[in-house]
Amino acid sequence: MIIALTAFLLQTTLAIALEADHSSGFDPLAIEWMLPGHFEEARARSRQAERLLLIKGVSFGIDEAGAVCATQGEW
Amino acid sequence: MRAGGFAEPRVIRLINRRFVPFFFNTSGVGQGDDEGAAAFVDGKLENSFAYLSAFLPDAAGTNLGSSALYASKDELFQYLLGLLRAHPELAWVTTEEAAVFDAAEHGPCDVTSLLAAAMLHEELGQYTAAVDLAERAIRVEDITTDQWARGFRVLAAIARYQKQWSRVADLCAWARAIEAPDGHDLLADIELELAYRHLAANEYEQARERLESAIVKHPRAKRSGELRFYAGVASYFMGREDEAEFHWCWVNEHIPGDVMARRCFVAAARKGMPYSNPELGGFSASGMIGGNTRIMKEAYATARGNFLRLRDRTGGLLPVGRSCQSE
Repeated sequence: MIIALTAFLLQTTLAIALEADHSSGFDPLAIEWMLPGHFEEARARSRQAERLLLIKGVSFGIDEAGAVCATQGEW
Repeated sequence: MRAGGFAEPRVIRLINRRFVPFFFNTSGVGQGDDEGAAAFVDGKLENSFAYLSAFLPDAAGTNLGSSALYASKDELFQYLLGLLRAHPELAWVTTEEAAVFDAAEHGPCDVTSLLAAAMLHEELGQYTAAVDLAERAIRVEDITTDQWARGFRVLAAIARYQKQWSRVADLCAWARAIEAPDGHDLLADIELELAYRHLAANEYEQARERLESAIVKHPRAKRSGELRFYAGVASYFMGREDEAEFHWCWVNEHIPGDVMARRCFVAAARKGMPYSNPELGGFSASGMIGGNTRIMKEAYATARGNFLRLRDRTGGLLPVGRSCQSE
């Protein structure tokens, strides 16, 4: 267990050490949600584009950032 | 929000290609309300608080049903495909997509066209066609290593989706011979695909070893968030929750714009969540105390504390870093 934990720490430290010199890779892929307050626009787009409208109801609240950007904030 | 299915690349790509996605707050607390949306769904849903539901673009806004509340990423993808199959008139092919398919079918047998069509079919969940085109592409004589790598990605992802694990292993063995320009991304992809195979077999130790090794060797890989998320999952199922939290919080702290960031937040804050995480044992998960927004944030803060503690304890171990950096 101790050996395994040490190995884990060595590896994760290395990753951190490397980050100091190199930016980490990442994938910005995200759903192109239409935002709250723009429902009529979403519905119009669905009709115009002849695509299904998907609605996600969020029951645990949305903060200020999440209400204006689908990839930010809490929601 | 971006937990589980909503952070799954194939789900995201299919939604962006074929649906108009909209979200709003149903709780009455916080921001993100939408009166129009609330009126539109009123009386149409069994669960009117938390859901993903599809509606026809007709005058009535006919509801086609919701996904399962705790749908896994694969179930969510199948739900979306089912909607499109039931309504092909709303799954029409765009002019740009038709041009891609046409170039592969009727144009000269060039790798670029074949791969573009293969990738598009993959995004649309049309795997037979995608595999056929990708296999044709990688047999073309003048294929570049970069194109070869892209062909591998299509074939390996589909083999994974279809749980053809021996094929995944064969493809990975073949791909190791590719000296692609984006070599680090490709090598990380290979390790990730092989780790998926271990995860599917509940071989968590092997999965974690492979993923952490890839994290160390390929820190700039595009799929770093995915490597970390699943390294966390493997650690979690090994009972090493501090280390799992390290990986999940790492993604949130270092690459918050990554596709996996919210999924990692949800996993790290699992004990404060009001529902069990389908990726962490679902309803068999234990130790939950959730939850509301405050409890979720507190749970994440506790996990982040573990992340910082582990990070601080790893100071001064640079010789290993230097050794690997020179690889």
